[in-house]
Parts: sequence; structure tokens; C-alpha cells
Amino acid sequence: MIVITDREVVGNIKNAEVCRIKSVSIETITQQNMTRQQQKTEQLFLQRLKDHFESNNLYYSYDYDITQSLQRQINAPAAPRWKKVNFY
Amino acid sequence: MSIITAHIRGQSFAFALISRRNRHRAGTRYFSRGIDKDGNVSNFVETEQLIVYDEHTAGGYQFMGQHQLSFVQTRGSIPIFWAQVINMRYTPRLWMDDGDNSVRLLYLDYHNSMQMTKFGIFSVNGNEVSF
Repeated sequence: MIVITDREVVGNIKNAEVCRIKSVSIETITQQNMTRQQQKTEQLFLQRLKDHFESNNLYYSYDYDITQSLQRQINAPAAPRWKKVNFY
Repeated sequence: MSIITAHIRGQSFAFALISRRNRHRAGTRYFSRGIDKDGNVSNFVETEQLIVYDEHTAGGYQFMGQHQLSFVQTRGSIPIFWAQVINMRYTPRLWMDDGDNSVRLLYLDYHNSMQMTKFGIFSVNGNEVSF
């Protein structure tokens, strides 16, 4: 599970805040009995994942769909939010 | 992503620039080029210019959106099968597939019709490349 631990607000679109992710925390469910080598590789990958989230300017907004252009938002049929959002 | 409050002749409005990268056929510039068999083109990005403003500028910086305007531009690698083989030269060697033009046209058509479906009416700007 990846949790956002710090963000900065970059602006408002139609009264909805848009935020940039500044730092995350990765909660892992690791298996028991990993060898030293496996633990090292696991840590390496986790750190890479963390660096990706923190240095690559990822944004989110609770109330405005930033993944769809306005044209598509207006033409989209009614659907629950998770269906309308576009992981482009 | 950039959102600012701008003013033209005393009228203020929210101006946002949002870029969305396509998850299909991503890759760094010299390693991923051209089109794939699904019609997706390398490093495709859609950039939206968003303008939101209200009738009365009562001050403050929250625009509720009585007027909303959006303009979308997309950018992607040329929709043919090509690549550039990295070497130490200033201009890496260009490679293109051996197929004939009818196949190329087929994929180009497919890519273009996908774009039409996704984005509607569009105009294409090309970049001149000389080899």
C-alpha cells in the first residue's frame, strides 16, 4: 500500500484543489524467511518505487477529474467516478 | 500541470495547462519510436489548455466555472515503423521497416481513425525531418 504523506496544492480548478505529491510512504506485507540477498533486492526496488513517486511530479485531485479533458468529461455518460477516470 | 490566475484587460480567469502521458508505448526518446501493431504511437502526450471564468469578477481566486473553455493538443511519434540505432555519431542511423507503402498506409489510417474517435475533428502539424 502506498500512502501519500506530503503534498503541495498547485491550484484550484472549479473550486477543486489540485495537489502534487511530495512524498509517499510504502507499507509492505513482506514474507517471512527472506534471505539477506532477497531483503536487499526488495529494499532496492522499494526505494526505486518511492523515488519514482516523489520525483516525477504526480498530481491528484479529489473533486475534479484531471485525467479527462473537459470535452470528454462533458460527453461522458453518467457512471460512478472510478469508471469515468482514465488511467491514460 | 500548471494552474495560474491570469488577467486580460481587467478580467481575471483561471488558466490551467494539463499534460497527460499515454501509458501505451512509453519509453525514452531514442529507444521508443513510431507506431506499434495496436496503432499506439510512442511517447504520446495530450495537453489541455483550460480556461475557467465567471460573469462577474467579484475578486477572489476561486472560479466557479460559469464559462469553461478547453483546447487540447496531442503530440506523438510519427506513425510509421521506425527507429534510430544509437551510435556515437551526432545523428544516429535511421532504420525503417522493409514493408511496402500499402501496409504503412493501413497503420497510418488506423492510427488516425483512433485519434478521430478519441478527439474528434483535428488538424495535423508535421515536423520536417531531413536525413
